[in-house]
Amino acid sequence: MTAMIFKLRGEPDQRLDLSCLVPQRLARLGEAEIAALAVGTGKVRLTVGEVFRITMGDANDIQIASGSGRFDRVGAGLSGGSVVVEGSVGAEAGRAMSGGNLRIAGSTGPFTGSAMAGGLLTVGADSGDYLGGPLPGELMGMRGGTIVVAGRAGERAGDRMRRGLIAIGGDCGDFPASRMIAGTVAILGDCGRMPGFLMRRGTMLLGGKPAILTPTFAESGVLELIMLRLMVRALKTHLPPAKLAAFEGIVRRFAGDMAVLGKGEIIRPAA
Amino acid sequence: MPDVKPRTGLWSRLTGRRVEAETAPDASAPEEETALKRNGVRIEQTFAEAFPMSGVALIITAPSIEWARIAAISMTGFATSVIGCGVEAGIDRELGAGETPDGRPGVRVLVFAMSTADLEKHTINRVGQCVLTCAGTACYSGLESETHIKLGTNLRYFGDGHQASKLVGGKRYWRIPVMEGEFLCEATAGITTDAVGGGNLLILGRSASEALIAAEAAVKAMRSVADTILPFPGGLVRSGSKVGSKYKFMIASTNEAYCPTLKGVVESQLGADVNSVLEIVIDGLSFAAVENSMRAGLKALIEIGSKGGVVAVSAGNYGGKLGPHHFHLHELLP
Repeated sequence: MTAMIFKLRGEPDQRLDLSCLVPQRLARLGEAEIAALAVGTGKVRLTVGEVFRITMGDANDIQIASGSGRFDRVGAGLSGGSVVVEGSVGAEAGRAMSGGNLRIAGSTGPFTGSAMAGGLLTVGADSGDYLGGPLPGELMGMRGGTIVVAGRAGERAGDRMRRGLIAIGGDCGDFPASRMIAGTVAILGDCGRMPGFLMRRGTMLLGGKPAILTPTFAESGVLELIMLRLMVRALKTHLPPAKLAAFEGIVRRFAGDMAVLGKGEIIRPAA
Repeated sequence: MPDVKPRTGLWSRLTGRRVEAETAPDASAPEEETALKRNGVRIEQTFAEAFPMSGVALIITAPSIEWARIAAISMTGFATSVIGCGVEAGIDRELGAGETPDGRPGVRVLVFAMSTADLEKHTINRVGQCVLTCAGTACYSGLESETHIKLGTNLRYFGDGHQASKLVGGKRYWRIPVMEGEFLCEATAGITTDAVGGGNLLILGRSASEALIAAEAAVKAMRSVADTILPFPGGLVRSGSKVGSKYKFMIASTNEAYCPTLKGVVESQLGADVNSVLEIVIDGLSFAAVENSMRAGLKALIEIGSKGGVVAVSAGNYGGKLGPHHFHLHELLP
């Protein structure tokens, strides 16, 4: 069965909430019912049918044929199946998703994968601030699943992360893994100031250099960690293997953040 | 375990099965009218009687195969019989770097016990004393299963609060700080309750030296069968026992009916041409694995033949009343 395709009629004049375009919502709906779903967030009511040309198909395989920075909450709440966007999207892509596969070919805005609990979220280009982080007022960010960003991530990637994996192929902004509770953040490029700021537990792999290393991290030696062999094996399915090889050898470990619990770690290649 | 012939309630305690009556191991006695001959070797029409067990497989890795082997040998030491050792354990096979979770050389060991609770208790003790302490090692589950025993989940307390867990690929691992660096151990290990313990072959030899050479060849062939171990020293048992003794403080004693030096003294099961008997005991993760191992052993013994001093091959059983798994020798012939 072919995919269910949504083709943009024209750039929308307001931000859209596309959280309804997920398999579990569309599975039992006909074309007219899908077309009537509200996606607007402004004063003027806007429906799926007004924004997209719909080609009916397998609701477990949804394709949004073009992107827009006004597409918010794409794949939010996704629990199974696949959603693919052939372009860039706005904020909160994959917010609170618990399963399935969300692939954004372009870039994403802030709060991508926010409070995600499961599944795989892939960003083909860059992502905004608070990747996997909590919305204001929430106690916990990402709590499961995997986020892969091929390019650059903004500030505070993995903020208040509880569990799961964030893999960033490029550089990262300030405060990555800030207030991290547990989990893994892997950054193959450089990062901004203060990585692991107020981190309690968890692991941050940093392939490049930090602009300023958080001063409350304690260097705990040059080590060979068997655990990294397992992590690198898992990461190789998402990031370029050649760039990960450095973590399989001797690494430099920094324990922290000593300002809080201090059971986290930042690991960098020793060479 | 399976080399013990029941005369008291010990098997009832171990297996939860009631012994109806004393059973004599006469199934392995020479029966000219029912035995087959292959290459001059008499194959008795009898069967090995085996028991259900709980089994776990672990993968021990290290910087070199030598260190993985050291840990595995240490961990599986003094594990010949559940009666005296709590568990039966041994090395299944050595693994190349491409076969282990961390890409280092490793050894797969199997541990068997009469209950899952025993299996967990003894496995944790053995990994804690012999693998955690061994330089460079890490320990992983070697069996995919929906049923698990705790492993790193309990060993982590050695970290005294400094331990950390990591979830990778859906599996949880514990990282325990040690003086060398870090001991990595999977939180749980997959088990099977369909394991089989007590498959066996009795090699009736013309002389002790010929029986040993033949048994060594059989062990070599049987060790190539996956998912099985031969838990006794060198894979062989020279001291098959019966349950009970004239001495009340002994729970098992020598099986005099198979002792060549007692021919003419007791009611012997050995013919005039048999002057030494060796037993091979097999534990496996499945019925099929034990069956394959016994088949490989039989084939090796037949190839040696009567010219090599193998007079007969038999098997130990309890009349079929105790163990649900029966391995009939005639059905395993090549």
